[in-house]
Amino acid sequence: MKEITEKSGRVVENIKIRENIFILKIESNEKISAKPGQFVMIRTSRAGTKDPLLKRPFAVFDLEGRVLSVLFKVIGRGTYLMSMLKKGDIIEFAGPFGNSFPLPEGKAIFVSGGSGIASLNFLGKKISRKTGIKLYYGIKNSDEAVPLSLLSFKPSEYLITTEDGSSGKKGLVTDFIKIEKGTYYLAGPLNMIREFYRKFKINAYASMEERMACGIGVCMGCGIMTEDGYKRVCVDGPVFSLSQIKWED
Amino acid sequence: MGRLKVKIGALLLSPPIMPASGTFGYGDEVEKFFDYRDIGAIVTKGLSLKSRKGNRMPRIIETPSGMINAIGLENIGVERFIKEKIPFYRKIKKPVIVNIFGESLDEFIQITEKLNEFKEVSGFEINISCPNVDKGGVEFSKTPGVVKTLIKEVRKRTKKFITVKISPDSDYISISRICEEEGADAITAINTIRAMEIDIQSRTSKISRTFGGLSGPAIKPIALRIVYEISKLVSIPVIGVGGISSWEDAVQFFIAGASAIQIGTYFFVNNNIFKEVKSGLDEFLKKERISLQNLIGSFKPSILPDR
Repeated sequence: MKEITEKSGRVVENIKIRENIFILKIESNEKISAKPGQFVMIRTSRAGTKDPLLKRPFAVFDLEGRVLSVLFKVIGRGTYLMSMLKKGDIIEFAGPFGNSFPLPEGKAIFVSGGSGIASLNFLGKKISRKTGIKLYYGIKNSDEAVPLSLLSFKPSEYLITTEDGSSGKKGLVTDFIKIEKGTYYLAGPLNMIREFYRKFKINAYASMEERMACGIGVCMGCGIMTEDGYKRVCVDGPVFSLSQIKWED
Repeated sequence: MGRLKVKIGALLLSPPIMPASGTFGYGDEVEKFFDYRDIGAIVTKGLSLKSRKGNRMPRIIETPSGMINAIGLENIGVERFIKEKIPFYRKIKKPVIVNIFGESLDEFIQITEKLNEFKEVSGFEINISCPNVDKGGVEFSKTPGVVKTLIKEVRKRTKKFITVKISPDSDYISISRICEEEGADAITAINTIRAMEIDIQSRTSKISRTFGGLSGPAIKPIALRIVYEISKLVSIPVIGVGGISSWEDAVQFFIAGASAIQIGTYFFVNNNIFKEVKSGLDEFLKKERISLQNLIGSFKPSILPDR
């Protein structure tokens, strides 16, 4: 039996949690299963139209039965159209695709920058019963904060940082990390991930981002330079260990 | 689906629908979900003698109803291809057309010679039209004399199917004539159209090179026009490609003169596009009571004078 990649569903809820940040819940018509770290490709054009053309990749924020959630920030045309979706609207998507986060050894420590929480939330949900999770949550300012009450797990400890000091500690999230025993999981801007590795020189798992066209490993659009040459973020990732990545490139 | 058969040279395409090079990897990447009965042949990503790393990121940018790419022919090289991909082709029993690329005539000759001995390779698509590399690619097309020698030399070394993928940014009229003269079995038209997008803040390109290749529905009317022009000009078959995103688009290409078609960018958008085009085309032929052979090139130009 061949897998089915193309799926469709209906919008259950499109929650505006901040000026530009939404949690979109989709009830899939097809059965769906996902592992933490995986992503879906969402078509943002209206049915029967071809613009915006390409599907957009979004981390699986949560999955309950057939109800899939993604957390997104309005950035361009595609996410703007997504922000307009209403309950009952039909939506087409593909996936979930990609590899997933390995399980932690001991405590799990999440380092989230910007919208990075979108890909760590589902992992948190899957492991929080078995292990404590410390969450470092870095954002530009308090307008970007996703309330912890909207997460699908409860961190055992957390630290919020903002670049302008409007909430929590003032500075970059990497300024406040105290290295301890456990497994580190990173998601967020490339600069944050790079800075973490430069500063602490310890291995961690990071969810990487790159522009994607296909999401299925055929277009070679989403390369990331590793010690073994370019890897595809969509199928070889999106989760990579920091030691795999060639940072000077 | 008996209606959907086309013979081009020694190659039987059933259906005459293929993926466009560079949008289907080597074909094995999609095995988990793809039904290979929906295509008449696999067309591989551009293959060179030695592996190529390709261009830096970002390699892609979306544009209105299209996208620009500058992948730069990242590929595994012919040796790994033989070791890792040929066994897969043996298993799926579909014709395989290898898109070949070289920076020099000699590289084209060596790839052809290395692959010619494999029965799993049904033919070659000679890439003289990639816009995203510094040497070879569309640069070849600037000198029709060079293209002539290239096709002649590849033809000497293989009896297998040869199609030449041409660029809309070249003198494709002269090149199409040369393809026919030098014994190519077909012409694949068109490759992507050279294009650019500028970031207005940094005033730099939105991709890692100044130019990339535009593909997707945005280029379909241009591709259709060129397929029409070339199929009027030469007697060898034309494989139509460029922005096809529905079975209706495919029908337009057949009417314009294409004997087979390829679908590229839209496979990214809809993984089921081959199945949808295949069944849509089949239904259309049934309804219109016309054979595919009679549909091909059946365009009716306006008989009224322009005014």
